[in-house]
Amino acid sequence: MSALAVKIPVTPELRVQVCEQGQTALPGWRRCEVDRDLVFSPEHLESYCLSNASVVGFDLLVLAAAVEYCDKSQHRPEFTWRRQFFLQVPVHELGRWNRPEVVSALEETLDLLTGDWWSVSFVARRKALWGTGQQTLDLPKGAQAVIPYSEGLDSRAVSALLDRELGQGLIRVRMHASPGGKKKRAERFAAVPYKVAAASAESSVRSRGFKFAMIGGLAAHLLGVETVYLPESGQGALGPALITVGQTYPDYRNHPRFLHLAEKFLNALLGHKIRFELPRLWFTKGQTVARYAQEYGASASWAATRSCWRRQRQVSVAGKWRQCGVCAACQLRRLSLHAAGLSEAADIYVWRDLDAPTLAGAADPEFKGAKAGKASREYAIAGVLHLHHLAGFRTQDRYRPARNLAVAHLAEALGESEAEIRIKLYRMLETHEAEWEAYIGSLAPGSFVRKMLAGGVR
Amino acid sequence: MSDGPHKSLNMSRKWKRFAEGAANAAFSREEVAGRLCEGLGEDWTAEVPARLIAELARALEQPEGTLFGEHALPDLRGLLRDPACKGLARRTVEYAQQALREGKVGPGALEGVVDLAVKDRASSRVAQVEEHYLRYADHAGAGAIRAHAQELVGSDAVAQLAKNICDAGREGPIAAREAKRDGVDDGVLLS
Repeated sequence: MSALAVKIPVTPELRVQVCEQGQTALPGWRRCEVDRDLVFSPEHLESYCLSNASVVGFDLLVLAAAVEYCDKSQHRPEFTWRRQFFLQVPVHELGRWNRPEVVSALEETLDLLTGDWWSVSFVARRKALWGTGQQTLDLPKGAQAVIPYSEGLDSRAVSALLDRELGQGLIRVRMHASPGGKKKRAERFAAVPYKVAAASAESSVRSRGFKFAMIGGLAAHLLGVETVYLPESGQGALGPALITVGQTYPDYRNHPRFLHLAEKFLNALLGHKIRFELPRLWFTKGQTVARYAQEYGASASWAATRSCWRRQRQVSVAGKWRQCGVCAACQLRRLSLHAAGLSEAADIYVWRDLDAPTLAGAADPEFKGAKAGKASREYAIAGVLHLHHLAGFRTQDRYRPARNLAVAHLAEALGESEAEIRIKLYRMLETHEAEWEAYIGSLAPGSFVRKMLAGGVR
Repeated sequence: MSDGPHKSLNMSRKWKRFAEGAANAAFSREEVAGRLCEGLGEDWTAEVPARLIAELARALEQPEGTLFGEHALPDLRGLLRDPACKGLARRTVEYAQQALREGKVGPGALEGVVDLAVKDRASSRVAQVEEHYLRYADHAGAGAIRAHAQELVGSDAVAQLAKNICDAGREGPIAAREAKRDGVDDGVLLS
């Protein structure tokens, strides 16, 4: 092979120093201030019942917020993925944070999750943020496990299924403030207690997984329990890591590989065993929803859940915020409800009629936005292709290397044999294949979704 | 559940050339596979530090049956923390770790690992071009790429690229320019 001058892209680098009030950043470092760039809500912090005895919890939240700040502040390169981050965070207990096993576990976790390179250092806080008074603790009694909880279908279904086993012992940790705006006085872990005010230079935000894992882990630590349940079903937990497109890095945000490393970091930091569990990992979302509907009958409240990530201004009809109906998350929802034999009201989605021959024709007639806007069309294409490629992952030879590697990684993370993992993974994927085929088959022959898959479905 | 479409479509000139040929009947399969390899070679050069091949060779090219493989695992883990090891390098190290765990060491082990990593990336790139056609061109183009995906990923040219990468070590990809072939008189090259 002859040498050719190929321009090697420069890896973007960002140095961020989390500063205390009035402190200036080191030369060449971007200043990030608590309460200006990382804004904590006293009300939501209060719901975490942090006390002087758990200052590590506050520092952990600052770390999670600072990681998100970095992730959102630096755009990824055009043709590659990786960025380099140097992050410095002030902490109350420097000795605890500066141990090599803590720092290396943290950096390994962030590297794997985001696909970037991280160097994290800690310095002692100049001024303790925590007051000297002892907080009155009011944590729920009898806790057995926690579950990070969103408005999503998996959250609703899996927490309800776990309630059957654990009853009051399952503590929900809200990832969004409860709808309606009224604060429930007694509610603990009522929302993510901070907001990151970074310019959104980057939209991939893979660090979201770190935020959820740290908040779930912190809640478990404060309650003195070991288990953090994550509600994601198989396609959502594994699919984004199994199917990659172009130069994108696998998405591990709900994947056992990432969770295994996050456990290692939290255990080293807190000296408390935290275990992340995905009870529906080997089931499709359709199977999860079907079981929920079966067990809860008419009281199953899946219809009010939200799967779509798109913002209100993009997908509202007559002033009402809908779900788009065509992005990967919406398509998985529709596929899963179809598989579970459930149906939804037509006005849930903006692009409601998937039998239509065009995306524009699928939109609600009252929708005033661009009916086949570029972004929506691209979301629809990416969503359909993702679920379609996932349906080919088990059988197509082109995925053989990635398939075997995925099995090895899952076996290592879950401490099971590759043979066992292969059986479970293939069973879940086989169910997805059948559900996908039935779902696509249920659409009209002229449907724009079916047209995308014309000319060689498998 | 995914990043949506925004992170997957930026393509360099080489990948656009592959996309251009991939669904064009005026190009032979060999030519398309050649363009795929040009893109893969560019990815390799951009994401993999030149010293990686030598480091992997040290770990993998041990006599079969030796216990050295297991001992090399921590070194490979260290490579994952190397700032110069970007996406494709990281994936290659992961395939090397898998080979060591399975005791796949000895002559040919390195080539096997690079072959897996390059095929893995080829599959992702073919998916990207399929998406590209749906976005910017037509359903037929996407369908044609889908139908030929396995043939492209499993082509001899891709296997040869892996071998060349191992042989060349520090060297970059071949990039012999082809003439544009989209006219009426252009057709599949006759050999």
